[in-house]
Amino acid sequence: MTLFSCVLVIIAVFALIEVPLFTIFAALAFACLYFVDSDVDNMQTVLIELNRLASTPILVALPLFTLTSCILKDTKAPQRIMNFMESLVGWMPGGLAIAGLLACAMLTTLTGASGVTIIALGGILYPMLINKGYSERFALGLLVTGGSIGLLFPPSLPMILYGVVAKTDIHDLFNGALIPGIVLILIISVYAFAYDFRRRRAAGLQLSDRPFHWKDVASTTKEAAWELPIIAIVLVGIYGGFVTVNEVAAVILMWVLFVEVIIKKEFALFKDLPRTMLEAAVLTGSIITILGFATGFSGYLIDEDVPTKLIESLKSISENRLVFLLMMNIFLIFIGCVMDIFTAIVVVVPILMPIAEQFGIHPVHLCVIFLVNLEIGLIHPPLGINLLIASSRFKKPIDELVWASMPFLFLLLLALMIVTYIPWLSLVGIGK
Amino acid sequence: MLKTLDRMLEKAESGMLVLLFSALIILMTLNIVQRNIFGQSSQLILEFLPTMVMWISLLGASLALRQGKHIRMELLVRFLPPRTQLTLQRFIGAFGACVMGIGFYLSLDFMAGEMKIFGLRGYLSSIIPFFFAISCFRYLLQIFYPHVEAH
Repeated sequence: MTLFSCVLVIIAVFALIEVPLFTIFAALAFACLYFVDSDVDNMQTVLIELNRLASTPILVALPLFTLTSCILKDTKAPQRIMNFMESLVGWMPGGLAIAGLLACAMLTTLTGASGVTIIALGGILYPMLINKGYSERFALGLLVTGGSIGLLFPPSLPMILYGVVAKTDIHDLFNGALIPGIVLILIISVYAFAYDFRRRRAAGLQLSDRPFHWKDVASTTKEAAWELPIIAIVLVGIYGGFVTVNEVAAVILMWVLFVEVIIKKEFALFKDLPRTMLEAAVLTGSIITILGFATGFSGYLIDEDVPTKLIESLKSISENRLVFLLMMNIFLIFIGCVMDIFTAIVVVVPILMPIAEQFGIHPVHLCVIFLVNLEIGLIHPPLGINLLIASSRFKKPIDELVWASMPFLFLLLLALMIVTYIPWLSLVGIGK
Repeated sequence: MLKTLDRMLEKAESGMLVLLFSALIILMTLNIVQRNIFGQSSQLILEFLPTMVMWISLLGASLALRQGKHIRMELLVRFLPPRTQLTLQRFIGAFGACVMGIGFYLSLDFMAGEMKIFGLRGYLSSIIPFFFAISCFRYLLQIFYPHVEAH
């Protein structure tokens, strides 16, 4: 065993005993670059890569969106958004579940599936679902899954990070991912509808216990009138192409501050904002340091031609694009189980991009496949982070949550197959 | 003594973070207004914003280390008894201090290079040695004062 191998094993052991990942990637990058020709100067590359982040303009959006999500979760905005969604779709069988799903999706686009959705909406939605007669198992499964739905909608933070790492146009990613995102929501909504329809029929209940009333919609719209423009700002800003993603982030933040501080008075500017800024900085810092150090490490892997070697070995197994897509999905689900979403993007995307290109997969299609896989990884046993967060939030054992989320897991796998093997869904949005 | 120093550092970092975050929001808003009224963005602001994000991120990261909020694998440790977890914390502290120490040593050379190339503008990168130094200090502190992380 060479000294280099020993160092790598030691670093792997420290990763297993939970040294923060930014330190692990710093150690990996330092070690790999040093052992190229035992030259300390090579290690400077890590710092150069870290410093280069300061010339990546799109990264400005990251702390701004993070701050917005931290502010929103501390107010009653999630409840108002939930009420609005319920007034729209609550009349149909499964309506409350679908409303919950839509509210989760809206919050997750801003929070990047960091578990904030389960914490912010779980406490509101869980008792509502139980009171309406949904089984505990269904309610838990829906909430575990809802915490990851929404990554494909703008202004999804993981998608912004993906664009930075893959050097792909963010607008293209947002445009391409929109239809696959809707497909995902539709599949789970149809399941929620069918589940509730059968439950009501079996129990001899009315198909709906909340008839649709325009009055209801008007009153919940009025209640959430100040939060709903966020969706409009995102849609007009990003899809209209009037402003940059960074500017959208700033406009939304200013809007949320104006609404929650001045109009709703649920957020104190001088008391709450500094605390929330620190919370957002800590979250941003833990993501960007991984990005900075992992860039040095993945740069080494690319210099050592690791992607080319992987392409050769994959091609020796099969040159068929469909087989490659299947193997890639299995690999990515595994990655989604053991890595958090931001780390997975930073580490895996630079290696996967050239391989996928060889097999003729468009970068936008790859992004969609990648994010759906990571959504699945978040609820996949044994290490899906949403299972862990839901376990502590609802005080339920992990195995109960695994069983509860199983039907949703299968639905997401079905959605994954659809978006993987019908690239048109991802490419029609960018006119390909 | 060491803990007091850590608390003082935390206060200084928190103050700087709030200032930088506020400045980021104000500058970003000013730039949007300027672009829409005068038809052009301020190049200086556009160049400066990513550097501010860099400072916010590295200060936030060193604060995350103090609060135990960094992203980690979370595979095994939760299943170990508290005493073993405490011992592991000391090892983690030693490993982290070594890595961050190497980073600090390299960053001094890096800073010298930046100053040589960019002059005073090179100071914009000075957060890098600060980050490595504070992180190294916090890992060292973990050797002497280990604590079990809440999972």
